Amino acid sequence: MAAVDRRPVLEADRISLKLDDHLGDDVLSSVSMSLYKGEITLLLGPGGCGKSSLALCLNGIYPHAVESVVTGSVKLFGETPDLRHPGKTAQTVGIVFQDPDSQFCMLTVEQELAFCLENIGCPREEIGGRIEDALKLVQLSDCREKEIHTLSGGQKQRVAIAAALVLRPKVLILDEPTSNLDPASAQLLADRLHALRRLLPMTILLIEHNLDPWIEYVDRLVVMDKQGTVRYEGKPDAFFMNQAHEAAQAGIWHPRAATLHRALIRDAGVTGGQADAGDIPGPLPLSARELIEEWTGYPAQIQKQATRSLRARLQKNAEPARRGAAVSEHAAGPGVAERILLRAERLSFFRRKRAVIQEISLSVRAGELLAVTGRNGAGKSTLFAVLSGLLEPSSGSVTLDGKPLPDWKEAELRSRIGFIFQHPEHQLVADTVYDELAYSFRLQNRSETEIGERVNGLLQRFRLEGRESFSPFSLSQGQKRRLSVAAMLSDEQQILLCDEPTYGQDAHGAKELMSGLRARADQGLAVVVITHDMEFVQEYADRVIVMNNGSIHFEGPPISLWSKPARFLEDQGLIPPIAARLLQAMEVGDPC
Amino acid sequence: MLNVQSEKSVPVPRPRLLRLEELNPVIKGVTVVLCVLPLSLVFDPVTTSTALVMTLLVTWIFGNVSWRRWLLLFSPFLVLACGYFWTAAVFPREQPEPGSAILWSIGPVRVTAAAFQVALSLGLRTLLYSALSLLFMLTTDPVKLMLSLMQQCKLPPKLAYGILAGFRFLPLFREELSIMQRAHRVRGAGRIRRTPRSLLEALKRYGIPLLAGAIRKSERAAVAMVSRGFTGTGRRDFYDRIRVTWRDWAFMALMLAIVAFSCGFSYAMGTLRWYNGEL
Repeated sequence: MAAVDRRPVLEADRISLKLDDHLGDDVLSSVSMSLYKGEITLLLGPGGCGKSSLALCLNGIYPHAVESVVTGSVKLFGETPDLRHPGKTAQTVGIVFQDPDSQFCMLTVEQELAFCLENIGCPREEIGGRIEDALKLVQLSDCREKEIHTLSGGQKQRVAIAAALVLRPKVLILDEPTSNLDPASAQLLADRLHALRRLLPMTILLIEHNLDPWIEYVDRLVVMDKQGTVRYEGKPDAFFMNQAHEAAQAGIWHPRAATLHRALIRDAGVTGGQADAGDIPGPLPLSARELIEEWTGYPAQIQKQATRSLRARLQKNAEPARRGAAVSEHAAGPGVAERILLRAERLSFFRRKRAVIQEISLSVRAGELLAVTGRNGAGKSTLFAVLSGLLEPSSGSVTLDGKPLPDWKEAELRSRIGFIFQHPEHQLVADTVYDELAYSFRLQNRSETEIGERVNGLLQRFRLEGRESFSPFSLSQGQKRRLSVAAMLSDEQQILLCDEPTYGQDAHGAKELMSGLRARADQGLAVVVITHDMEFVQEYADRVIVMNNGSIHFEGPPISLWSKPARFLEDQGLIPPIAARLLQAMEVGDPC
Repeated sequence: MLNVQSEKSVPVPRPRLLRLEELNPVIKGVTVVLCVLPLSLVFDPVTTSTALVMTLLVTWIFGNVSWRRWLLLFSPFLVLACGYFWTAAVFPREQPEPGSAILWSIGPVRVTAAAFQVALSLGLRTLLYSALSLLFMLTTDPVKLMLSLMQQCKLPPKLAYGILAGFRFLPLFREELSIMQRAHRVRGAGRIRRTPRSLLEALKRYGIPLLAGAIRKSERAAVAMVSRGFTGTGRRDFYDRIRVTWRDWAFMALMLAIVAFSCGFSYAMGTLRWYNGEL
């Protein structure tokens, strides 16, 4: 969809934002950017750089509804819109937020959409028809009467999009719409939105960490840095081709297809001896589709090299060397000598007569990183609570080191099993960062001098120096996460359970965290992680468990999960990592 | 306009002429208040128990109420009523009248017929009021109530939609608290002793994060509302019109008739007594 008309639909000119309680500290400083008709513009930036604030400036919520100082101007079709009237603004700039649970005001889908239309004074006779149109666009016509809280995460986000569309805005802003969704739902939402803009004259600003579902539809890219200024504005491939290094340093997620493409070029180039392989030939593929098209078009010789390299890549987890101390011999399949730390047998848990998990048996071995994945609401978090003894199973048993959980003393159990929750705030118990880290040492009645030493060590290791006297709640999202992990790790647990630890983290923070967890597993401890990110599963996990409707549908090394039939993966809401998809595509094209 | 209304309600099966769930919430609420007012002037067991039985009948016949839920919500009032009954029967406010017969006694504890009468009225009255409130609460959809308050009583939309948004958060709070309790237990901070200091500590530990979460959520909800064009002022053309129909007036007449009948029945039995400062 090449835009013929290059007049910007929305133009932000030197926007600066100051919040009252941060006097002197600009959230945004002099941001200028433009959105063009029919295009999807992706706004990227490290965590906490003010992307969401910019979105709220563009639709007039700052400074109209939230006390703040905004300078600069927003122009719509070259004119300054009357952003003082929220009803008008909502018809101009629609917005969809990240959290599906706190962006609705009513109980049912129809009420929510009617609420939007009543707000702008739409005559009653038109409301029914407009609701129907909006629901058709997001393919939710059969959910009109349903209560919003009974819908899935992906459906809720589609309701939010419908709520914006029903007002027929010129510009739609999506503020991390897929960060709470499983990979398949995220891809579905991206596809739907792309289809939508063929139907409507829609200009879209997308703010997102998770690039992969969206990148193939993105027309323009705007990159912000930590200080809240725009660093880059233009075509996405040019940015990722030329400024990959800066992006990585700033904590910006890189399209995984591009990373893989580079690595493959290197591998195939070195062994294949191609003259032009050292520098990147042609455009850099950003999406999985482009990558597959690019590589299946290469000569057979290069493809063979690439296939080999991909296989090696996918199999590296199965190599015993990565498993550290725990493996004794090169046996096929899991070694018998591996020590089983935690064993669950025929676990079931019922909540209000409904089985949340049923008949689950699994074991966690020393020195492994076990990933647990599956659709939203599959029972993963409940399984964790039961495994750690926080919830009593309705039937079945959990044994730690051969001893059933109820036989352990609470304090001892807690020092053996660590648990990192999805939202770091839930785990914080003290008033300052120092007390937070000292908390469990104090419970163990250690001397204050010893505690001081240990806490200082932790502060350094987790890059929290200088924040000792801060309130944990005043930290940034990434710092909070590091603090909650640091506080949890202050004991040397044998088993660490992590519930979506990379949630809301930027690229840098997520990678750091995952490699930290991998290092623990390599030390011979066990780590179990809930994650939706299949690239992480591929890169870090030894084994993966797929849950659906409360039971285990797959258990084994990641590589054998990717070779499952597409139908099965689709049912589980999974999308294999790009490397696996590329390998499959090349093998189909060249059955050697 | 009327046929639009009936079009909308066509798919809803309507086996009964009068359904409490479909009544106008404001009129229903006003009816309940109108019933409570005269009944609070009467103070004898016969009137109250007659009205109580008939209220239960109305709830049962015209309402689609889960009786388990009804009993669950009713039980605290039942306990309360028994407490009132016992206290008023054994420890009457006034010295027992000399002429009043003693119904039973254990040692110094004795219950006179007069005290028994007062206690029974008091206990039944508690039950009657709670039955009337439950009749309203269990058959009223909160969204409809707010819409009705805005449409019939001109409640400012800012307040009404604010309450509705808050109402949506209640189950989220419960969930968050239970997650937090688990998270704190993991940190070894789970044990709360029953000492005042420890309880205060727990209040702080859970209260601050819950409040912080609540503020963040409400901010997000407020931003979402504004970005949907909500201003809280001006006239709205409501999509879902909550009307007042003859059914509402019929319900009001029925309930007032029940009150009148109870009083009349009691009068005929010769037991009607007005409230005369017994408490």
